[in-house]
Amino acid sequence: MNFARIARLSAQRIVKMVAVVLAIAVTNFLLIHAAPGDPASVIAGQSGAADPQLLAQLRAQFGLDKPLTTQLAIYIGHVLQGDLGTSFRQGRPVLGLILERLPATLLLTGTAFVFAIAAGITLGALAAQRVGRVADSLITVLALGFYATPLFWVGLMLVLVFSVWLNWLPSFGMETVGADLHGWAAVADTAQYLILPALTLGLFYMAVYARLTRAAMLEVASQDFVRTARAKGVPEGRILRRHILRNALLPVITFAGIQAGQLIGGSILVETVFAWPGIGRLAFDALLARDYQVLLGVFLVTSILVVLFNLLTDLLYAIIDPRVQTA
Amino acid sequence: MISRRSLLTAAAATSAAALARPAIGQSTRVLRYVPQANLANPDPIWTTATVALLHGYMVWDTLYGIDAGLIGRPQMLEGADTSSDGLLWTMKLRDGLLWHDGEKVLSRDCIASIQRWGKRDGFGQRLLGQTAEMKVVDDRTFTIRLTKPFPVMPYALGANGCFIMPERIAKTDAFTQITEYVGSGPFRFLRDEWVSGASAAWAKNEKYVPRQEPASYFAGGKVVHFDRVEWKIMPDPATAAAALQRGEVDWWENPIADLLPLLRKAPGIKVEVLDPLGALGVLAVNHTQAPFDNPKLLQAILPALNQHDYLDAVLGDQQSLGQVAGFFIPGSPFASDVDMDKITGKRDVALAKKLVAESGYKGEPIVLMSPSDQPQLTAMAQVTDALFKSIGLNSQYTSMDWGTLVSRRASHAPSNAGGWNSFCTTWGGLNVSNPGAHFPLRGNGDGGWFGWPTDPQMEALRDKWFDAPDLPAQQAVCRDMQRLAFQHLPFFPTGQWFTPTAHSDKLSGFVKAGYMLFWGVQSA
Repeated sequence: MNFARIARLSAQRIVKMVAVVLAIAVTNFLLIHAAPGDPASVIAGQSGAADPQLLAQLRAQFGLDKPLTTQLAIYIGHVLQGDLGTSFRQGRPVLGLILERLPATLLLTGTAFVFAIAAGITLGALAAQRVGRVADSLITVLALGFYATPLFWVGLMLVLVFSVWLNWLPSFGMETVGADLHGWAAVADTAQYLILPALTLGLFYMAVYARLTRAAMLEVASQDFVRTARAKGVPEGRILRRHILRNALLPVITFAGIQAGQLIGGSILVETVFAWPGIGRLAFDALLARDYQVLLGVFLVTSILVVLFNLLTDLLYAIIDPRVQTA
Repeated sequence: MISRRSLLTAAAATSAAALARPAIGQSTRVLRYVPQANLANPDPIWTTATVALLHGYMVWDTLYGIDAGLIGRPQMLEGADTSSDGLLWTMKLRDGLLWHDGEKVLSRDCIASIQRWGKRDGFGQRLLGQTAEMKVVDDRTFTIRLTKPFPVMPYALGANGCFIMPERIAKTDAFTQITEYVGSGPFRFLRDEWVSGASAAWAKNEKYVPRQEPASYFAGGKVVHFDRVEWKIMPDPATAAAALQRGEVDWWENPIADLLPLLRKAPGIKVEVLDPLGALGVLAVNHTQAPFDNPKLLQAILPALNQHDYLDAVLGDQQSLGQVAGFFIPGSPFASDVDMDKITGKRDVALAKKLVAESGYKGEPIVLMSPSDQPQLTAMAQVTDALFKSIGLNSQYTSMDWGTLVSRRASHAPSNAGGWNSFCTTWGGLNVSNPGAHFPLRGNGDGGWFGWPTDPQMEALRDKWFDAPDLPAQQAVCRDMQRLAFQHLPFFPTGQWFTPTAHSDKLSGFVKAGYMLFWGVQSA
């Protein structure tokens, strides 16, 4: 492995990443301010009256009375200093709110991601190996089913079956209320709460990876170097692992890099169904309340995560396929 | 095609029969509660969100508390004296009142709290407007000197969230959120455990000394039977129903109407109405913009408006939970049958059409805002759209999210420039039970509630109600107000309905009030 090449690639990507994140921050700011209403009018609207004096006072308090360009300059200045502002609605620092919720989302999306990749590749490889047989048909139907089913429906059905009917798993939340557990007991407790939401979120992506892996493996399996390996007497298992699967994984990794970001977006629905205390719900509530600062903060943090995932994908790609250049 | 609503029903129907294991955390005495919304901000003066008021009644106590008859009774007060001219109130605190940090509750705390509350609340603004001076007499006694009598003082301080906070907190500007949540109420807020959008927790205040009288609405002894109350924010109703059936939570504040029949059948779960006044449906109209600046057009709508259409749309087959209503919520001492035939009599669309034609209406578009993320209000807006169209009005049904609606309804602009003409909402019964709290029944123009009707006669009657010496005199004023309201139509009432709550049948002792209260309730 050429570490100098990887380091050079990383440095280039990080420079681009900072520029992309800043561009995203500016775009988000402008888009959010283009939406009808602002936090002051929503708060005034909910307080039962909206006399101009109250609105003016709230707008001055939130800095919304300044020109948009000034607000943007102030916002970007604060972001560059690591200050994401204070929630208009909750009166608490946005960074604190996000950090409070981010671990739950990362745990959920990370688990779903790992499950989706592992189960998807395994099922895809199995289907490719037994192409045209019953196992292939079963896996294909299963993958198509999960691919086509809405996330919230899967979630509700899982709750119905595993929580209500079988009484095996809890239906909502992240931990047992009032249990006050510590150490491994707390880990085990959270793990059982994690299963249903992670499955719900992961099943869709598992279906995608299974279909992708199957298609890629079938394509690679027909190529000359595989035929050559087989002619040379390389065992089938080795051909599958070293020649076919390794080459077939490249499109899967590309897709996984893109989908890592989508997972965070997709988690909003799952977090809603399972009352999972992550940033998806935080963003949704902030959107309804036009809590700009929180919304911008969530967008920025998720943008950074997506860009980071893309960087990791590029690096992984470079490791797996040495032909990838830094240019 | 499977709709989300039918899916919810099907999911809950199957689960209702499958398993019921409601349970209370017996060993730890934890009450697990699913509120109607997230506790986004725990300052009940800064925000009027219902969940903030629920939290407010847990953490802070009030000088007075209204009882089930909506009469203000001393709560933190040992008693109060009023001078013969009604201009001087001398209030004395109960002995032994302590803040959660162990400090004594003092007179100066009460004065600072009344002043902060008075800047935001309608009753409070009225009180401060006619207060010459508030003065500390001693640690437990203070006076309020008025410029004119304020007979509704006990109700004003006992029904409208006048929470007493330590002076250092109460001195926070009324438009700035407090950051410290120390009170003297029956629960302590566990701020470290508060995760907005996910959960919140309170511990029993062991230092709290309840009054000896039985609990009644906001008055009487606030006896707590749980060590902790934990709120779990659950946005999805099907999940909340499943959690209640599994015994993962004990109490769900507001199950949706679709799930009520199934929850009623589920073993171990009880569905009941705890709010004696329910809610009033309101069709708001913008009096400052054409065409609803034309009183004749408003009058033309009345013969065609059928409250049963709204009740059908909102309640479905749960019709026993609703009834027709006038301008004051039925059940309040101020509700009356004055001119009720105008809304309960035979509906006459032909007459309405004729009146529309005579009103001079020129077919101007009517922007009817409908919040697509609020099913109940969407149903009301759909009924309104059909009503408007049935009498020849050019209704423009405009769908949006609730956040946009509450923002847009604050706009005074013409409807074609970002303003609006009409929307539907509901008001909690307590807030529309009397003229003092009744925001929609005002005539104070731009300073009033959305729609901004200007009606000096209505304002004069409201002033008269505040000054009325006793209940019969107040009731007489309210009858006049309703008569005037049916003539000037500041808004259209669309009925009264009750929202039941669902809980484990092991819970009992609930205190019936306008908000869910956490004292009195206990597990078997």
